[in-house]
Amino acid sequence: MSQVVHRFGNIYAPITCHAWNKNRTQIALSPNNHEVHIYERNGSDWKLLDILNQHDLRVMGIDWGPNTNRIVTCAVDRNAYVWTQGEDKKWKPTLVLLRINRAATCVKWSPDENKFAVGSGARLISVCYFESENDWWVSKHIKKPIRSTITSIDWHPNNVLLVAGSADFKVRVFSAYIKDIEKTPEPTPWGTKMPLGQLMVEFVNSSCGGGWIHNVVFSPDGNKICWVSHDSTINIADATKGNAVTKLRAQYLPFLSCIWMTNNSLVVAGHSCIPILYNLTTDGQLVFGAKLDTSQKKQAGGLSAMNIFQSLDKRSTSEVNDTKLDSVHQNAITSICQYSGEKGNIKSFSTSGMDGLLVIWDVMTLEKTIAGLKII
Amino acid sequence: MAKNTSSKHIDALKTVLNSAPLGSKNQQVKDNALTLTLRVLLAIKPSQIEEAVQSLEIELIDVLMKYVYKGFESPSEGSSGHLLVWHEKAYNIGGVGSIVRVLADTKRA
Repeated sequence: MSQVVHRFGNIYAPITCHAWNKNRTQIALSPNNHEVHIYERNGSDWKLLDILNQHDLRVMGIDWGPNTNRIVTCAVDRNAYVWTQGEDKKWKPTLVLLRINRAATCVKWSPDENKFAVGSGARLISVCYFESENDWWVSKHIKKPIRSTITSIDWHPNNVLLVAGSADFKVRVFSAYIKDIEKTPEPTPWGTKMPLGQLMVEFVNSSCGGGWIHNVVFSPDGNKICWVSHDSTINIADATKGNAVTKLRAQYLPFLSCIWMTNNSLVVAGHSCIPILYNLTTDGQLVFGAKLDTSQKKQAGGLSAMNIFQSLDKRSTSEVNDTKLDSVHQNAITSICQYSGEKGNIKSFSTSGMDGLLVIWDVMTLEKTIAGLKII
Repeated sequence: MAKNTSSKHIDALKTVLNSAPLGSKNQQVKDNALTLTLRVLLAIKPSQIEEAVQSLEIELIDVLMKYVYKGFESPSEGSSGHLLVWHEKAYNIGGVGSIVRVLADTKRA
């Protein structure tokens, strides 16, 4: 099988977001409420290990630092918690004061895991780091020139630059350099001077106006960013080519999430319920690769007239309303995470969505089974 | 002769779509452009619509879709049926993405 479907216990609610531990044996996910559930893989089954129950309102973001084994969560209650595992394998929360007056919307550990960034509805980004003298997490704000809710953030591999997508239809690259804890960063194609909060570059989503940003990610080499927005477009900006933007107007419903497979190909997924691969050609054009979901509509026992009437009778309806979609996911896909392989050469990835399912897609087998699928 | 007028119709379509004042703040300008675009759309026979749509770039399909929906807002005799044919052909190329952009873009027809 090129894709494996998982359901966790009795969760039929949407999975808001999910994150894996380092060796992919455990997963943290939120079933669209104030809790974060930790599951451990047990053969093909999942065992509920712990429920992180500290937030008061819906959890919006989870990130699991692979090397320091710490989980950071943020929620609509305007708080973020850093969770560390004690001797007894129980997770202990530490409150982080974000100093925001609106919901926190997204959170990400930096690559070195010595700081994390939280986007929020308060039109600012909190960059948080641990101050050992006072034994607490400090947060610094990036405010200007953000005009609306931050919907997505991602870190540059250099641990300093931060890209943020916003509901004001703009994508911005900021510096999140904390001079107390790190040494001066090397120049990058995005710029050379990087004091905290410096706006390196700003992109407008569309010349036609509109389209709030759903997700934005740095490429593995850090030289490109890709964002998807509510006008069903996929956009790539390349810092090494004078911040030139390549835009692809897709034929599908808006995408909610994207991930780079390599430096030149990426997978997007969203309201169309299927992950789709796009490739970047050498002359900088974005081209359609393949739909990764090849499932066919299941014909339950053939479509004989008797079956149809039997099923109508069973459901006591008078119409044939088959609501099953011919895709693995039965509702919008809201997040994509890397599952195996390394950054820049992803072997498999996981998707979760509003249908409460988690699906792991194996790129290697997909490449063999789908004709014309090529990841470059 | 007949071929000549149909190709002129397609040229007219490309011209109005290329110069569509979507971002204009002047309502009068937008109204005039709408009237003109609808005149062009309704002048093209249903049998030629396929050919006309095929010749458009994807950006212009989006603009076309915006005018098709705007045209639905103020129907005249037989216009809606005609615009539905335009909608079908534009949808075949732009997909639902094109319809999403009618809703999501702030610069409208």
